[in-house]
Amino acid sequence: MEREILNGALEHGSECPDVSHLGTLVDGRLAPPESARIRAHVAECAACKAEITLIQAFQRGDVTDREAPIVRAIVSDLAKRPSPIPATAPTRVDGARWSALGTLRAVLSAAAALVAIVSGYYVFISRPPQVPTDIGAAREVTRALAVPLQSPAGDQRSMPVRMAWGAVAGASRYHVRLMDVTGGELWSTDTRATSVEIPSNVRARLSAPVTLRWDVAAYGEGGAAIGVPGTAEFRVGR
Amino acid sequence: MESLSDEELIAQYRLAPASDRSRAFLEELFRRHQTRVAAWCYRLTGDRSQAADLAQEVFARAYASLDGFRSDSKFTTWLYVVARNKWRDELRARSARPREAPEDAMDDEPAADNAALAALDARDARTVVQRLMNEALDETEKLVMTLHYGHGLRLDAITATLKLRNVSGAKAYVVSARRKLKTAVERWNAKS
Repeated sequence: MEREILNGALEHGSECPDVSHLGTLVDGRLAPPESARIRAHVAECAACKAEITLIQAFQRGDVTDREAPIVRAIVSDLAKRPSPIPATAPTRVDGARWSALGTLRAVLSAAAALVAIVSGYYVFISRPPQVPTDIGAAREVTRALAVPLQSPAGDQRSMPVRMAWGAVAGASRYHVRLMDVTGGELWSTDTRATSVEIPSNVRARLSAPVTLRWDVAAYGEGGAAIGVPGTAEFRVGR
Repeated sequence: MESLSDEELIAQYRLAPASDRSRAFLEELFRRHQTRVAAWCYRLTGDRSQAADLAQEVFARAYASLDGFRSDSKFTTWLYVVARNKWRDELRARSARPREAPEDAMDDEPAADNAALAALDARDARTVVQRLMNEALDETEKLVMTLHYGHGLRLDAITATLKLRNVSGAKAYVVSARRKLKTAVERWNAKS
């Protein structure tokens, strides 16, 4: 009980700026009016002061004598694991579609190579295909399997109130997530509708300028996922 | 490549993200920050194996989110936010599982001592606790309490992060702070 009360009292509140803004403040890259506003808040907020302490500690990268051998062992462990970077860094598409598009690109690469050889040109197979129209069509095919997001997307003058998407055949439930640019979840909900209002306390926590991502996943009556989640990014105040 | 800044490495990567050469820029970028991230993940988890898992997930998310990196902040700062959010996701997943006793549970505090805080009206608790902490605690006690209860940091992680030199490290500050806070809350409850 005591722990819960202290947790609630000392964590970030709805009035606290986004952590990325605290980081920009630490880096000295906030515009003066915004910088002054956030500094004034930090002066009175234990949670934000603590966050800044953590950011600065992370930037310093200190390792104590006790930690050093363990950290070396962890780095050694990481070296034995698969790299987080794919063998051939793909063009930028969302994760769920990478493997399907990768296979399609391989087929199109072979087709493009064959055409080039027949027409008398020498093509390097390892290079990404130079046939944009087919790849564009392929992307449209994969997008047809994704939940079609409608709004918000792109530049927004103010924080949007509602997120909307197109219905997916057979879907009885949608899981909606709002995330920061790093993919960290800010808020999520489930709904049967094809739009949802962002709660005012969530919107109040997000101060412009900010870039946000959101995605919607569709599920059928049995709970099975339908297609792939649709994702979009929008920017407020740029 | 080692002479390029983090931002320059990312810019080079973005020129041709699908090329094999771009992989080298990203590998250099992640290599530079591997020890930093590994150490941070170890502080968060307190476990070598969990730290390695978390660090790998942090880099995977950093790679997946790299499009979102702007020059609003340094890459190190952006990477901190990635690691922080990944850890918070992990904590949320853990809290959804059957609760385990926290490794640093204050077993020496009898349950009856929770009554003072528990008596606070839930609506006012946040405001009252923050005000009483400002009045009763010194800056280090406030920071340690906030890092532990507000940010979920382990006591040994706080000791290392703040470079505390006292014998019991952060635990001593938490014990002292809770005692002072208990007295302050009892006085507050008596007046209300």
